[in-house]
Amino acid sequence: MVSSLPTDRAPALSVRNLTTVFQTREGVVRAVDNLSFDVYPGECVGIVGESGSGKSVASLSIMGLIGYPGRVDQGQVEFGGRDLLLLNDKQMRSIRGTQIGIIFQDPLTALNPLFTVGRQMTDVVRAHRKVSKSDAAALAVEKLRLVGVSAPESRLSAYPWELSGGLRQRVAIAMALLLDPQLIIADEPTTALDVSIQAQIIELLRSLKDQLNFSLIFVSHDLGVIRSIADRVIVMYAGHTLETSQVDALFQQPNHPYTAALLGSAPTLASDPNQPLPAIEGRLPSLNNVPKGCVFAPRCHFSTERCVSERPLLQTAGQDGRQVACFYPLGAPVNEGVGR
Amino acid sequence: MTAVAPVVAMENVVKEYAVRGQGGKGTLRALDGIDLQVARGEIVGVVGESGCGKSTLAKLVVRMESPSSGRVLIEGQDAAALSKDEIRTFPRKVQLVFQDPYGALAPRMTVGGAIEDPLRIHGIGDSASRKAKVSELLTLVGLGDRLASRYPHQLSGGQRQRVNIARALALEPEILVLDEPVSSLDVSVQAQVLNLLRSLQQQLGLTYLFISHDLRVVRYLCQKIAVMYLGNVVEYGTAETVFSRPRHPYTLALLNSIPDHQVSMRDQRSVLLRGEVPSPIERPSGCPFHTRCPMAREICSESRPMLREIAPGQWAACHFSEDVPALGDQERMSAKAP
Amino acid sequence: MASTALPLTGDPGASPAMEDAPQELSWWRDFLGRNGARTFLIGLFLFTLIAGAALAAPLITEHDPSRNNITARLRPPFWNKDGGGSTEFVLGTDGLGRDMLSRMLFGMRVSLVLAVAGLLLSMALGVTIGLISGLVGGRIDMILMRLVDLQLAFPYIVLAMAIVAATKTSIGILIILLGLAGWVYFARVVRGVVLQEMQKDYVKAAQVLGASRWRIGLRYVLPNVMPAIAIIATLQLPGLIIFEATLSFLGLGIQPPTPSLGGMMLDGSQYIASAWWVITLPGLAILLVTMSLNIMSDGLRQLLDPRLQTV
Repeated sequence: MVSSLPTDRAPALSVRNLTTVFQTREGVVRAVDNLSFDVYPGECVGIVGESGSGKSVASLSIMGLIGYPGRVDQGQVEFGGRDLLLLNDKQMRSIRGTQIGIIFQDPLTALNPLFTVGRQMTDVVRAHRKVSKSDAAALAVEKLRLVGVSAPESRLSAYPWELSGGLRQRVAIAMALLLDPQLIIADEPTTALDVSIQAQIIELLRSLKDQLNFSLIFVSHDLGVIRSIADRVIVMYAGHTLETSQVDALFQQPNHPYTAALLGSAPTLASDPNQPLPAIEGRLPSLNNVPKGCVFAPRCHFSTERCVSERPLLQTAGQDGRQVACFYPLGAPVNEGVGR
Repeated sequence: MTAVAPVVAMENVVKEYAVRGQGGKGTLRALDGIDLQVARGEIVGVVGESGCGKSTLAKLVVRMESPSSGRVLIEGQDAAALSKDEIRTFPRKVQLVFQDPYGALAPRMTVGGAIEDPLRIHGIGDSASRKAKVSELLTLVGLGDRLASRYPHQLSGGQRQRVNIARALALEPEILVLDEPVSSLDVSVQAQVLNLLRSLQQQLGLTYLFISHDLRVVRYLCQKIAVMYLGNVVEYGTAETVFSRPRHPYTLALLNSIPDHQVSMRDQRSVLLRGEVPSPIERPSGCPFHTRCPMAREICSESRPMLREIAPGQWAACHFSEDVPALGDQERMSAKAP
Repeated sequence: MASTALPLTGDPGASPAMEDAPQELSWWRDFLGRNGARTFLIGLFLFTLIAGAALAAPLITEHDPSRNNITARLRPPFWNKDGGGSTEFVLGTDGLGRDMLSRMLFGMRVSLVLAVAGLLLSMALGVTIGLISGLVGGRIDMILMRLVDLQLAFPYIVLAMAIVAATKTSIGILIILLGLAGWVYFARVVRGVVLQEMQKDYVKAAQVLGASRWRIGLRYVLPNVMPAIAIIATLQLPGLIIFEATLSFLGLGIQPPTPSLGGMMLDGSQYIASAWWVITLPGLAILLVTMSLNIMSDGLRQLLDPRLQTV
């Protein structure tokens, strides 16, 4: 766990004012609005949010995987001294293969069902490095062993659909790690898995990150998962960043009313079964119709006229690079005064 | 298991499916001798990972499937041996709410039409009284009756699930089987629906069979818990006892696997369940859990443990239930691992 | 929802964040913005023009399509002044001196009425059989589908010719022949959609609610089959028009002196070297009407395919 920001080092990835828009029949919607954050080497940044929060679009934008009808409207994504948003498709593909590894929610979409695991892994290696087939296969075996796949040599000849869900996700992780990337972007990598397998995968990613010192961007809707892996967390809602903080500080003392309400509404094993859950009333805003002021104002317990008419900007609150976009940030712990 | 006459009782229920896979024909045993009783007005949670048979169990209770052997009794009547009349009125006793709120609504039928249709099917009331009932139901689930003319695609996920609940309640059933009703909803919406389900249960005195993979949700809503693994109930008891002092190593492992947002990463337990669930086509001998169990000994692969009462109101199917360590005391458990 | 849905408007079920989009504000603009809407409208416009002209034939032309006029044989269209063309017979006359325009309009009328009648018959037959096949399944499904295969494997035109040769040609027989030509496509597609829909949760929910198989078929499943039916209907209609024209061209369809496009082409074939318009113009008319329907069908297919409605 990183207790303070390693500000003395340069960030591995630096995102500034990233805005991604989608053209829809109702007009242009902003799926990600002005997102900025840094990821340091060996650090895991968690992006948490509900549907339509923009967390997945943000990760796709960084990877250069936004296609029509969406596009990155503005911003910079600095990585290895270059702005990824200025690269062409070919350059971006080469970066995605070598320096940035990607893990998706459903490993089946990332793996080609027609080819064996070994063929796909060696193809990736040989696309970026001039090595012999047997060297590439040896590298694949090494990475499979690294992610805890038993009998890795024999798995090379397996087809993705022959593997169980957990094993498939391990193979997908091994693929992402093949060329020792500095950054891994994982988009809901455990959502499709059972809890016991999810725990294994989280543990695996955590130990790999410590061992190999890569940076990790971990996107999830699950607060518990985020707390168990992230060092720093970005809370997104309707395309906007509402709060960003060190992980423990965020969960112990959320500053944004949305964070607090979200934490309160998710049942835990410790929730009192005799009390109604403090649900957030109302519903997620439509991206076609984002509130003019604070995006959370219509559902917020504390909103005032100012919140409705004026949009609060992300501002530094406290130490450790904590930021919150709220006129009236909370100081109280989770359990007090949240929810209706 | 319960003193009150059960409204749902499963007696040694086995459900098998014939499958044809790469290895030729086989038998998939989805349920492997389930005994379960649900008393009137209870909320019983059924938890387990994918492939444990929890959804098959739900299908048997609503008569979408019939057991290969054993009996499913609904209010004392064998669901497989009903007369024609009883089959016709059966939907008025038991209803089902699906996981995917969008898929469970006919896309070209209005909300009002969807809720009214069960009333028409069963010839309840005339057109005017049915309309009144529809708006009453919509109000009951917290939706305005102006929504009656909307189509499913015009609603949010939470609203759709409320419509599904309203439709299931149209026939005033006593038993509601809820198959992962909140798992496709966003966290903030999930809480609303959970609160609704709880208040409906209290208001209408319903009996819930609540199927879920999410122990946090089950802990919050349910009074009794049945933990399933590979077609078996491995632990059963009141939510309080099962969650505070699990007596089956699988339950303990599941509880340890839940990522909890109230616990810091540093404090999170690190003992994990090894491997994955075996195939229900090639079931392990003896205890179904022994291949992954950190406590397994020789006997576990030889003889299958039966559910037995370990503590008052708590049953577990484990040879070594007494040795299952308390929560947060995993060192003992891993030390026992061979 | 587990994953973040992209803010696309395509599948309305995918994203709860898209809820409450302003509805019915301007459905026309909304409709025009959809993929295929413009294509559909162009096709519809063309077809309406042709069908309208055919139906309004007596108002457009004062010539009797069946009246011979030996003194005005094989007059070319009006623009060929040198060959004797005049605005009296705008598109010229045929070998018996009959006005081409009025014959084509009345012929189109006959063709359309026959094709639409045949279409309705094959639709009724095909949808019913497809529904039964999909809902009942088992042996009945197998028998019905083998019947479909049989008809598809057999050259239908040969069968149709045999039937017409054996019976006497009449409007009734022709409609039945056209109806039997198209039902298999409806049956196949309807069965496929029914089988697909039967797997969905809403059908299971209806079963749990106690709905009978037929109620599920008619109230729950059939409305979802409608788009497919509409697409096949627009695809089938041009096929039936051509089929009718083929029969008439072979002399097995509409009998003279009733005008029909196929029959006109048959008549015109003997003048193909000397008077091109007698065979070419009815051919063009067939081309135009089938093309308009194909354009319509193409647009409709895009309109009704949710996967193409992403923007």
